[in-house]
Amino acid sequence: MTALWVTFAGNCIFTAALTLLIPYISRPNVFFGVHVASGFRRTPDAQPILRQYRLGVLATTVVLFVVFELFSQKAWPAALPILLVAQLVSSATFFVRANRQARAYFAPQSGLREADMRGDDGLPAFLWLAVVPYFILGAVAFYLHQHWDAIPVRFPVHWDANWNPNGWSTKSFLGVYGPVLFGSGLITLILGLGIVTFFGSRRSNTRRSVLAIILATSFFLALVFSTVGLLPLHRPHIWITLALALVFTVVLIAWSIRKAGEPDSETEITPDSFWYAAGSIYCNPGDPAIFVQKRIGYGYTLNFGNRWSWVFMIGFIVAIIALVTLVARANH
Amino acid sequence: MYSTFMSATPKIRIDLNSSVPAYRQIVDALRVLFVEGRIRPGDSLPSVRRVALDLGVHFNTVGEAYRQLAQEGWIDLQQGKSAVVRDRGLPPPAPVEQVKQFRARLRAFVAEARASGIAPAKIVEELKSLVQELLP
Repeated sequence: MTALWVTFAGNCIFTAALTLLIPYISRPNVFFGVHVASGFRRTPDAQPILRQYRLGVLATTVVLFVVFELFSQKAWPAALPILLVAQLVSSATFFVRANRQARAYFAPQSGLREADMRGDDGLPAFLWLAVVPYFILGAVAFYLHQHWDAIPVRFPVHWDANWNPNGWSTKSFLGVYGPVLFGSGLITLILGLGIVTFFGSRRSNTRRSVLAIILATSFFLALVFSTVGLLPLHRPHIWITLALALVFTVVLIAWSIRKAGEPDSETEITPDSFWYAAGSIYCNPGDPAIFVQKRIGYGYTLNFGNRWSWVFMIGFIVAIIALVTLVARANH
Repeated sequence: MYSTFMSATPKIRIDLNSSVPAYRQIVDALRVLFVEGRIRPGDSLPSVRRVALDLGVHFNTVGEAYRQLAQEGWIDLQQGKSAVVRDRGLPPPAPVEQVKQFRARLRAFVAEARASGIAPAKIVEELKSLVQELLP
């Protein structure tokens, strides 16, 4: 069992599991991106659609394993990304097929909308906890500063599939503090995303839940970048980081399924005629919301009909590119 | 058309499929909340942007509704500040012409209710109940 095989199997099984769970990480009145009667998922009409989708995803996974075995004997490393992309494409194809089948059971939405007439609301008090991830990263930076003399001139920061170092950094300001700075920047960006989502979407319990998820993600990122930040002095075992990522992802998915399935968590009213690409893209110029509740999965997606959504998205991408450039400079 | 519903927090509900313009529904629903005392003088209303976002209508629609309510003396509008509910008090008795208009509207409304099969006794009962709810 090679490292390449473990990487492929881990990615392939994880993607297959997530793909199979997608119909369940949706609200009770949404089925494969289509607005249906609440609880339709459990009716006999829904079962054949679910069954065909599951069979398709599982069959594709088995075929990909067989193909990978064939390619791996020829030691062709490009097989890994190609097969993983093929899995994503085939999953999307089965989803689109299920979406088309589900459209026969589309339930029209009412035009009723409601608004709470108390004054404007502020951010939830729990958001103060967002200072903790910065404290964690700050503590790592302080530790590095205190042990500066013990840092080698050159140290490994990246390893290949067989755990051989293939990337190094140097003892410079960016080389040492880069991961901590990148982590802080990334946390700032995702917290910013959470705050913009909170104020740019309709008031509902989902807003608070999503902000809590984003806060939890910032804690997770702080732990990951603390680990990476300590690489000049310590080399923590990779399995600890991977286990942490796995536990965080599983908890996040389980929590999303639970929240999405709550009886009062029916999706907000967004006209079906403005949803495109099997319920994954929303574009409604008449809707002032920047973010609307997703049809697939739990959380929010951009309303591409709103020009501020584009401004926000482009700004976010530019900020990510700037952060990545910072790290790239640190490693050269 | 529109409705306000008895929950812990004052809410308005509009129907975007209704033939009644959205701004009119917002004005009517808010007026009910003011008359019932569920939103009291001194209370702040959410911003135009927030209400428009929650209802999924254009900002101008809510702006128009707020301006209409300000003209009726229900709220104070100041640039850059929240709309605040005014202590409007009881207006002077309505002129005869206004009472006549009100009677004509009520007549049409009762006729519509009868035409849809609601019994006269039920209409009287509902009207009495509404008047009692809305009386200060």
